[in-house]
Amino acid sequence: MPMTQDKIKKIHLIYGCITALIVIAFGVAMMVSCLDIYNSGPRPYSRESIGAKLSEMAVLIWLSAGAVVGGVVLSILLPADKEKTKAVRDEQITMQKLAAKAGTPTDTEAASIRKEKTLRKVFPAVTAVLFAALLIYPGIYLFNTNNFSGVDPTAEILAASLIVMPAAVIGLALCYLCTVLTSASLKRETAIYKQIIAERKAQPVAEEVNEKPMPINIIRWAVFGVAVVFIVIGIFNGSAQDVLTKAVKICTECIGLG
Amino acid sequence: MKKDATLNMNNDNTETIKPKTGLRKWWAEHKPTKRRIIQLYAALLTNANLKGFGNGYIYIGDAKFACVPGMNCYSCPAAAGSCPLGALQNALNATNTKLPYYIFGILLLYGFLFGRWICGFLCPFGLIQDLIYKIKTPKLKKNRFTRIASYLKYIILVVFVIIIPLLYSGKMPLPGFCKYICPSGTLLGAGGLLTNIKNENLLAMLGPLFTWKFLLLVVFLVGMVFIYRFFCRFFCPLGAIYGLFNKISLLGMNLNKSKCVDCGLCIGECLMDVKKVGDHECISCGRCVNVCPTNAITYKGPKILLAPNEVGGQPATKKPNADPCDAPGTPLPKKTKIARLVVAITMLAVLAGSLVYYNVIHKDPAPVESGGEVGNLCPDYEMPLYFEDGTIKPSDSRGKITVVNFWYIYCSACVHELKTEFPDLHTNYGDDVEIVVVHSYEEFGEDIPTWINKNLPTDAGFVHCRDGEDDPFFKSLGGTSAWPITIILDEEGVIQYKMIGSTTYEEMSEVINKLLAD
Repeated sequence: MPMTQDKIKKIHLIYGCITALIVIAFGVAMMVSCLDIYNSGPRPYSRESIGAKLSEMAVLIWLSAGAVVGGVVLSILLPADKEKTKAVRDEQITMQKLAAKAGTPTDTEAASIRKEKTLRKVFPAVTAVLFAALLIYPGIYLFNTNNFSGVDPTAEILAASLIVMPAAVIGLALCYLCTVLTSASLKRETAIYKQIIAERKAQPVAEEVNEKPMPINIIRWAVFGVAVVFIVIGIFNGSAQDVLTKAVKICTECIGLG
Repeated sequence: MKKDATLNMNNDNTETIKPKTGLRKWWAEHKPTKRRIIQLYAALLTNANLKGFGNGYIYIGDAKFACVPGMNCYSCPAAAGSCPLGALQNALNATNTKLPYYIFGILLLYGFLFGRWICGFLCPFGLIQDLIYKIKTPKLKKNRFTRIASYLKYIILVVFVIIIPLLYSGKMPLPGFCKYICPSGTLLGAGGLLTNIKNENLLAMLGPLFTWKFLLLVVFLVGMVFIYRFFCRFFCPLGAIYGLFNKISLLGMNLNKSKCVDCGLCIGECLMDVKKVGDHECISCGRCVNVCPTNAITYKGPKILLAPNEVGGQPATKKPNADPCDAPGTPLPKKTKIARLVVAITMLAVLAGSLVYYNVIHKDPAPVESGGEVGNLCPDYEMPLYFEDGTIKPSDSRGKITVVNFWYIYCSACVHELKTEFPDLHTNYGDDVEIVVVHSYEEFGEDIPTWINKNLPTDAGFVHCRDGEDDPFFKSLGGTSAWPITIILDEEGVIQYKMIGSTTYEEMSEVINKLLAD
């Protein structure tokens, strides 16, 4: 009896989870092996030390390769139907279309709508202010050239990263919070319009399209013109030659050989 | 007729459509699309110096004057051109001598022409991510969080690609992203060089920096299995730059707003963190083209390259797993077919020509074999001195132990060891040891004596000089293109120690102590 798609998808899921565990185990094993070699003494890397570690991991390497090939075989023997695409509508556009359909709201409804619109101005403004405040100290640190004397650049950059990256992560978290709050506000406003439409069965209002087209062609050809001019200047001022010279002299640390 | 079905004639001349199964269905779903073929073509053209994998050298010819559009480390033995990201960082690092017009122009040109179409079609690292993503595991779908996280690449662009090289301009060569983050450099550059048995001496260079970058590379590779384009979406500064041009680029995705019904299927189908078709996250992969019910989405650009899914005003029929680079269900005009054939033949000719040039015609300058190894008498090259008139040769310091170091100002490893490892030699050994510091013939437009006085210790007893044209002394020691090199000569001028890559005070003092004891 042929298998149902549900069963096939379950088999694919289980197989996928097993492969995921193997991939993660392989990744962890590679990292542990690398750290083992690094901690084994001065000038730790050699063909012998790397070969020894790879031999220890041989089973995991074969298992990973087998899992990849197995996945292909499974797809051939038990093909699963492609998942149906789920629509992802832009909440702002959905709200605007409903607003156009709903017509004129009552005073109470208008007050609620105004409140939501105000909130959607306040959230990004507060986020921007907090983000800017977060960047003050990292900015002062980065623009103080005394912190980057070049004596030990790795330590200097690590110190700078420990100041900049947490601020960046907190900033991104604030942006995420802002989008969550904005989305909730859009949903509330959308709900108001849906209620209006349901209660009053309002007639659709013709949408006025007032979009001014962007002067794309002007910008395009301006960018092209500037690009050509810069390339020509670069050939004459020697920066083109520098690209060649630095590309043929490998700075070993620049590719991680250090 | 549907792509996933075959037509069979029955005995009574009726037709039965049999659904494709098994291998045929798998092949129908997974056969290379035009986009994949273009990706493979671009990866091969970008890495046309295939013999580099065999002989262990990078290509050092004039073609590296040109930047390839995608992220492809120029230290990869097969790399045929320069990486634009590495070139940008090096150029920003050198702003004390000249403004980086050339690389700015190149990035503007690529942005104008392609935008992030490069990410979807031309970047070899993007291809690697697409292939790794095919490994069968549960996948992390995009969401609001990943959309926010995609802005991290702009922070990396500003901090590591722009600010760090500028901060160290004139002090220390430091391409921040290349040195501390870039997985392309670790995988293609370091990996490509280290896996060749002829570069075994490079293994001795590896230390904390390589360990950090390798761990980061493993994280990226594992992430790519579960998250579509893990590196592109969250970390790639080059994608961040090109994304800024998506609206104005000649190639990319185009949304016809008059046909769009805001069904949201395009955004739902897209694996990148787009909010609209063709925004700064769009890599023009074309998945959205197949699901749009009103054919509102087309490719920008000339029809001869990528046909829109609507030709001559006739709507195309939808096929599952259709190649979005085609116009399914509608025949192409003859002129377009001929033009496409001409373009295809030209592209093949370019690829064949490149492969022949890089692998047959171009001859790499092989290192001079004589005198370069431990136990041999050091080759005696005459080198002009900085700070004094005259020249110096290794034989001038016979009777003394001589440490000779080869460096150049844009090599961060070289500058770092001259600041931290070598001064102690003079402090502890005084006149027993002569330290000769040989700069590459190429001076990058800098006033080297001024640069040395400003950035290197002036009381470390260094004798500064410059190698001859084309760096013959450096090459005679087996130096191909990896810097620095340090050699230690005994009192008879015989090479007793040679290190390609960074050395340490401890290693050098161990050798010197042995020589002094003898």
